[in-house]
Amino acid sequence: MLDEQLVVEALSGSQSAYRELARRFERPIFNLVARMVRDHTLAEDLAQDSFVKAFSRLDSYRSEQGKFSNWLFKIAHNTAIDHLRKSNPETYSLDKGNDPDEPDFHALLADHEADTPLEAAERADLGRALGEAVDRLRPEYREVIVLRHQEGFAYEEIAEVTKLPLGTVKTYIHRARKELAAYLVAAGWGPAGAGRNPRGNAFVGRAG
Amino acid sequence: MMTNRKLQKDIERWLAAEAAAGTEEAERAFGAAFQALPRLEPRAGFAERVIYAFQPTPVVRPSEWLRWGWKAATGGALALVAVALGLVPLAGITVDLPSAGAVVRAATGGVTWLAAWLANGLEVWSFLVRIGNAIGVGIATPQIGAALIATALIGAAALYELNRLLVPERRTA
Repeated sequence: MLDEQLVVEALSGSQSAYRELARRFERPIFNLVARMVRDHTLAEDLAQDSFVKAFSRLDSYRSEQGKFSNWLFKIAHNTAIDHLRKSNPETYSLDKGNDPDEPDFHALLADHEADTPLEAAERADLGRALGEAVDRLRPEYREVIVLRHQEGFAYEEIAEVTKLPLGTVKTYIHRARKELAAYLVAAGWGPAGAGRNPRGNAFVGRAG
Repeated sequence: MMTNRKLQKDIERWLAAEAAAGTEEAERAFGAAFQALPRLEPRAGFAERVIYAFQPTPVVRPSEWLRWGWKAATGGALALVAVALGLVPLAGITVDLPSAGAVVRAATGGVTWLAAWLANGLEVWSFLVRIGNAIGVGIATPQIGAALIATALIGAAALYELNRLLVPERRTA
């Protein structure tokens, strides 16, 4: 069933339609918010707020103005941005691995359908390195890169969600990619740093 | 030796394209390498928590027919009243309206009745005030105050002792 049909059903009072909408979008919305705020618990609260806000004003959604997913992402974007504006972004720790009581956020979530344990470890390594590099980006860069390359949004859709000019979106994505490349090369992932493993974890070597 | 050739190629292709400023190629290669970034997921039961927090209430929307019917009935009733009022002079019906003097007399009577009612209410309050005064004077008298405090202390001691005696009873029960 299309999202828009579920919206109509939800508006007519169907609780199962609301539940289905929440299930469909819980992962992408949470992923975006978590990447933006870099805190799992806070991300859950903000993602939940986003859904509650969206459901409370579901009657203001007009399908002729765009896809439901874009509308929902827009609300999640606003919720996360409001939070980031209220809190001081500098207070966020950039190195979550130093606290022994704090589980390694990326290591916990690094999971992929890999063929062998070695490949899985290697992919997890890259995932962790990418995650750390993404964490070091500015929040607006993190958001556009996640929307573009994890959620598969078109540039125009990103511009609609973030209310940024199309040119700015393209510039942000370009700069984000450049910065990520620089971080990864510095961390030993480039051809010049073959074999270097800065975290000393499962990765065994990158030389051809 | 690196076993995951595709992953290695994606990264190298991306980094090389970035270095060579090949934007489109860099974006394609980056997209492939970025798949290694894990998607973050909420804890289990997130959707249920959302529904619990939202608590959707069933919306009861009157049908279009019902709304138009209601409007038509209201309009019709108003039109009938207007027609009826217009027919009153034609029918020669005399409506006995009260004179201004009668209205003033009724209003004066109402005010008098209200004043009497309030005075009765105040009398009840003044009776309660007299009782309160008597109690206050009693408490303020040293002998009576001491007797009241002594009675309260004896009562509290009795309750305490009773409770102490009942504790073993409760335990055995």
